[in-house]
Parts: sequence; structure tokens; C-alpha cells
Amino acid sequence: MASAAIADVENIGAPDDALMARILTRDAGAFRILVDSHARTLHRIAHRMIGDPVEAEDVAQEALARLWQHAGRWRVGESGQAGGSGIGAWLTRVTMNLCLDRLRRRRFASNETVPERADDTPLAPALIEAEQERQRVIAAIAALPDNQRAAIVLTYYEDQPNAAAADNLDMNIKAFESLLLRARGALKRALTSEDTGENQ
Amino acid sequence: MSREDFAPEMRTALDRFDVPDVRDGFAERMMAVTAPVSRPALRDRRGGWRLARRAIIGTVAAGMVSAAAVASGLLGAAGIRVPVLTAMLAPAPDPAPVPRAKPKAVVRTAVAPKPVVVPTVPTDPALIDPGRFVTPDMMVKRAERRAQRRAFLRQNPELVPVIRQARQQEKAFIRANPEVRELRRLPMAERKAYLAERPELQAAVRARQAERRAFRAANPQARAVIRARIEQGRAAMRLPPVDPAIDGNAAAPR
Repeated sequence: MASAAIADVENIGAPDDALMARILTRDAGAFRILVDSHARTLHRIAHRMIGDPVEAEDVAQEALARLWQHAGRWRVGESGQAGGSGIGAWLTRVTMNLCLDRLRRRRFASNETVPERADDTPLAPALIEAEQERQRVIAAIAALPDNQRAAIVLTYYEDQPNAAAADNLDMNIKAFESLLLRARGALKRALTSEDTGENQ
Repeated sequence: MSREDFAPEMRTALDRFDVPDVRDGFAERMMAVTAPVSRPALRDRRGGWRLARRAIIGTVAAGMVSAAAVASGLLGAAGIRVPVLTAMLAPAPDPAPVPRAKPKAVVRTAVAPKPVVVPTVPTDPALIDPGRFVTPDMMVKRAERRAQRRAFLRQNPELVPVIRQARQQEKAFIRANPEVRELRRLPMAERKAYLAERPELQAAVRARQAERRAFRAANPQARAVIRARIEQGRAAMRLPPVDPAIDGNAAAPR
């Protein structure tokens, strides 16, 4: 039923404005449509930024709750802004800010790097090797500065244009492109050095 | 820049960072946000007591405010009387202004004011009224006579009731006519003139004289004995002691 409602919303001209108007009238059905259409994206972003699926779920939940509570702040036509994509962009921006806040607090609490959860499940050698590769990438991305990691997550994993990603990070496009270039370079160096180290 | 801008090797590496899907039931848990917030009931089961408590507090507060207003005279100035508090706490009204007496005009004269006369006891015997003042000599004489009368009554106890009756008659007369005391101190001429102006008193005096005569007639032996004793006492006081054998007639009654 939710997918049918999503289809109905997408068929109208300004779906975000109509949806937010319904949410403003405390329409739980409209909110359910938003949850179903954006929850996975928000959870993905938060997971790759924070590295913890449970905490990522908390972040996604908090972002969606803010949308419900502050629906009155939604401005009609906001979906037509440059670089934005309506409610999705708004939620992405809120989720990214929540992640950065949590990372900042975590850094204040401890200087240690984000611990990776050990998986004690017995695996086949191929799976073990694949998991090791995955953990290596995760570690390389986690080692990036927060804003560089955010640039990689938004542009590569979420496939956002540079303008939209810059808007989500509240940066101008030039600064974001510079940031993205540095992030790619740092990530490439990290992965290449590890490959070199392993080969040696 | 898009995914294609990344190098293939890097894309291969980055794609290894897959994330699991959101857990089941996330949407349902998320919908709890839309549930209306259950607020605690404004009134609980203690509503009745709360109402009574508020009423009590309000009554006490109103009483205190009224008492303060009455004590400060605020309500009194507005002409409002609170039944009990006004009588207890209202400040007493200012006393009515007493009109000041106009100062008397001071008349200055050349006459000196009269000196203040302080009554003093006269020391000159010539100024002493013998009927009003009792001199020490008189006190001595009275004491002697009193002693003689007591000695006489001890020697003649049968006369005690007679003399007592005579005294009672005299006291009754004096009590009825107290001015007689003063009258007896006047000279006889003045006494008669005084009585002539007061016929009632004169009649009372005459009645008393008649009573005395009747009493003497009723008690002749007493009169004779008393007179003889008195003459003896007076003679003893007047005359120097004499030999009874020489002055044998002195003791005889007249």
C-alpha cells in the first residue's frame, strides 16, 4: 500500500510540497510514505559515516523524527532549489550533520579510532579473504577526515552530483571539488600503501 | 564527478564496503513518533482535596489581606467595615480637637498680688480659742478627772447603771442636735440669742433640761453621792491637803 502511495505522490507535480502539507496536518500516512522512501538511504549514509549499523539506525530515526516535528519550517518550493532534491536533500543534510556531530562528540570522548566489530563467524577461506578486503576498505574510509569521508559517501555511494553534495555539506562547489580531490587522493594512497605492504 | 570518475580499482575496492539493510520493523518503530504524546492527566484522584486546599489557602490569604488592609486603615478610609477585623484591628480615630481657650488678656496693674497665706498653728496663748483648742493643761486636768471618776465608780458600783443611763441620754441628745456642742462653748448671752433664732433647737434643749430634771428626781441618792464626791475631789484639787480632824466639815455634803 505504501508503494502505491509513493507512486501517487510521485505522479503529482510537486510531490514534496504536497507531502509536507499533509505531514503538517499530522497525516501519519504521508509520514509513512516518507519513511519508506528515505529510511534506507539515510541508514546507508549514516552507516558509512559512523561505521555502526545500530547507531546509524538511530541517526536515521532522529532525522525522520525531526522532519515530523519541524514540518512547519518547510518552505513551499524548497524542492526546486539549486542542488537540492526536496525532502531527500533535506533529510540527507540533517543526517550528515547528525553524523558529524556524533563523530565530533565521540572524538571528544576518546582519541581512539572507531573500533571495528569482530566477526567470530567461521568462514571459508575465500569469504575470509573477501571480508579482510572489506575491512581494509572500511578502515581506509574510516581513517579519512570526516568531511572527506562525507564527500566520498555522498558522491560515490549515494551517486550525488557535486552540487548536491556540496549543498548537503553546506559548502560551495569549488571547495567541495577540492575536498573531494583530496579525499580521493588520500583514499587511493591508503589503499595502495596497504596493497604494497601486503605484497611486500 | 560521479562514480565513473573513480578509477576502476578504486571502485572495486569501495564497492566492498556494502552495508546491510535497515532492520525489519524500522518503519513501524518510526511511526511511533506520530502517536500523540500522552500527557499526564491534569487532575488526578486527589482533585477534591486539591480543590479544598486551594479554597483554604484562598480564604486564609483573603483574611490576611483584609486584616492588613484594616490594620493599615485602608478600608476604614474607604468606609468599609469588616465584621470582626474592624473592631479588633482598626486604628483608633484621632481624638476630636479640643478648642483652645483664648488666652485671657493680661491686664497689668500696679497692685501687687496678694501674698499666699499659709495657715499655721498659733503659738501665742492669747490667740488660742479655748473652746476649739485643747491645751496641755486641759489634757492633764481631763486625765485627772477621768481617773477620779473611775475611782469613784469603783467605790460605788451601785451607781454605774445610773451613770450609764445618764450618759446614754446625753449621747442621744448630742447625736440628735450636734450643734449643741458648739453652742455650749458660747457665753450665755450669745447662747440665748442663738437659740432665740432657732426655735426647734431651743425646744430640744428645753426638752433635754426637763429630761435631766426628771432623771435627777428619779435618782436622788445618786445625785447626792455624786455631788458629795465631786465636791471632795474638787476640794482635794483646790485646797492643800488638810488634816481631816481639823477640816471635818469639808467632807459633809452641801
